[in-house]
Amino acid sequence: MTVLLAIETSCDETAVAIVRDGTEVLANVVSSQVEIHAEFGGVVPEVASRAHLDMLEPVLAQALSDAGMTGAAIEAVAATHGPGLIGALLIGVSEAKALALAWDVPYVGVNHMEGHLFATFLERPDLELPLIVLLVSGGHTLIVHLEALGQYTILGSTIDDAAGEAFDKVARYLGLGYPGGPRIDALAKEGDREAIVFPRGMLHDGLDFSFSGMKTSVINYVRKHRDADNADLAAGFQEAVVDVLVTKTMRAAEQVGAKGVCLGGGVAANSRLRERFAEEAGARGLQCLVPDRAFCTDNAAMIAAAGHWRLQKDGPTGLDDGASPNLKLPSGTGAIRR
Amino acid sequence: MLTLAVTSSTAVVGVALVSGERVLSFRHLRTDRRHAEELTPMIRDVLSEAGRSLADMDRLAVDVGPGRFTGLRVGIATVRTLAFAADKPVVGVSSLEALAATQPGGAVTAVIDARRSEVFQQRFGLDSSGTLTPLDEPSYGPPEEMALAIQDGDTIVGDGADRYAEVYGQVVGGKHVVGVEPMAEHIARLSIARPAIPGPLVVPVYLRDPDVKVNIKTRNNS
Ligand SMILES: [Zn+2]
Repeated sequence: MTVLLAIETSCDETAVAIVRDGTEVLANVVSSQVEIHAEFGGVVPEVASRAHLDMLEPVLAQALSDAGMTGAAIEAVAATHGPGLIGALLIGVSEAKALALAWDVPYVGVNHMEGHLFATFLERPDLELPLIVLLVSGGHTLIVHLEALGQYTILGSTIDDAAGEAFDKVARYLGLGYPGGPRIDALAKEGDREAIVFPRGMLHDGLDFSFSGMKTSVINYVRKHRDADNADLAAGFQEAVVDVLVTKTMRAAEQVGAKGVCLGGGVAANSRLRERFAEEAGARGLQCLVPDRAFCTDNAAMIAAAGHWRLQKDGPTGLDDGASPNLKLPSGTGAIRR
Repeated sequence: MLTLAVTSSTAVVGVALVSGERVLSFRHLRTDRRHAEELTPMIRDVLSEAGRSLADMDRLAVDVGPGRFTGLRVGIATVRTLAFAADKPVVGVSSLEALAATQPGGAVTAVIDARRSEVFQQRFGLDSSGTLTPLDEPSYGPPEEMALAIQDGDTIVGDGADRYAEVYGQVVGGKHVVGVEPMAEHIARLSIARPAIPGPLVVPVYLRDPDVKVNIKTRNNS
């Protein structure tokens, strides 16, 4: 039995969660800075770091209060130590190490991407491995082969923009505002997704992605058709992105003989992606997990889940731990099969 | 009164445990970019060397800048979290004051490197009992302009003056003392006469606005 408190500050969410044994979520507090960054049209690192510090105590206090606990009940502390914005990461890492020192409990540094993979098991600890996980957000687009816990192989990634970045850029171009994903998602519901068919970048080409050309084709289309309807543009663009994401995920599942497919990352909140993902998995008889939206976007419960497992496997991280903005997903050896 | 004090807004990280005026234990390290890595172990070591725990502290004190944004946030985040966990009040102390307090007396100009060819700067009067009186407001700008505020007889200290020694070493009537760093024991001593307040109220003194680089092109105005 371990009650673990985890902190996530890698980008623009200040989050603290308290999770028992890596699966039972006792508190999951997320304070989003999205409105702060909206006026800039994207996440501004220095602004994010300042806002994380402002929210430090309120989010921490709220998590303890939601769990009905004091610090005395916490048995370990985790924080995201990469990848992410360095100044932002260091707020959470400093906070977590200070808590570990004050409460005299172990500290464990967690890879943010590993957190996204573990988000899956918060809802479905019963999922059978191996799995293919599609991780899509503003910063990453990855197809991960999850062979065993701690043993991951990246089968595909983007060669240019991340999927969420492409949504943001197209939304900005269409004057829809920030963040782009939810704006396009909402507007696409009013449009006809077959009215304008955009090219599917690298659709027949392995498992890597390219979204930059798809973004350019939207811009070129608008230049030629000044009267094009924004809703149709949004629906057509979203359909093209979703089509590529889903097609490649299913292809990867076939290639490795996966038992199921999962979705993670902020773009996993996109309603058309969720719908198509479940349909295509169902058609192939694959187990499928489309997590609750709260566990798709950045949160600390997933960091707690991964931290719990890492602590069991590797033991505590030293208090001299820092943060790595470009931390890679650990892959490899010594993994425990579920 | 037991005070645990931290500085991390410049290239150094310092931690001191001070009882009244007496330093019980301390660490002082020039680290450049490893503030977050070094600070927590240094606090752990300072406490254990003095045989004290966080619970024994009457208050915590922290350097609130101006200085390096990331470094000073690491210090403030750490100290405010310790204060939250141990239910202790906090005192924020300016890095410029801590620098000036290293000198024996007289008029002191403290200069901290603000990067991008700028410095943070403030003038103080320091009497023989160690009482600091600010003689102007903390401000920032290019060293050539900032140095104009220095007056005859000023002692000039800080990593900003050291970095722009070709400017600060040439000030007529000024005396540039090289290699002076803010120290946690001065943060602790300066904090004693001040009210300790709840941690969340102790905020960084950034002085400079965040850099915002955005390039917004939209369908309507591109
Ligand atoms: Zn993420």
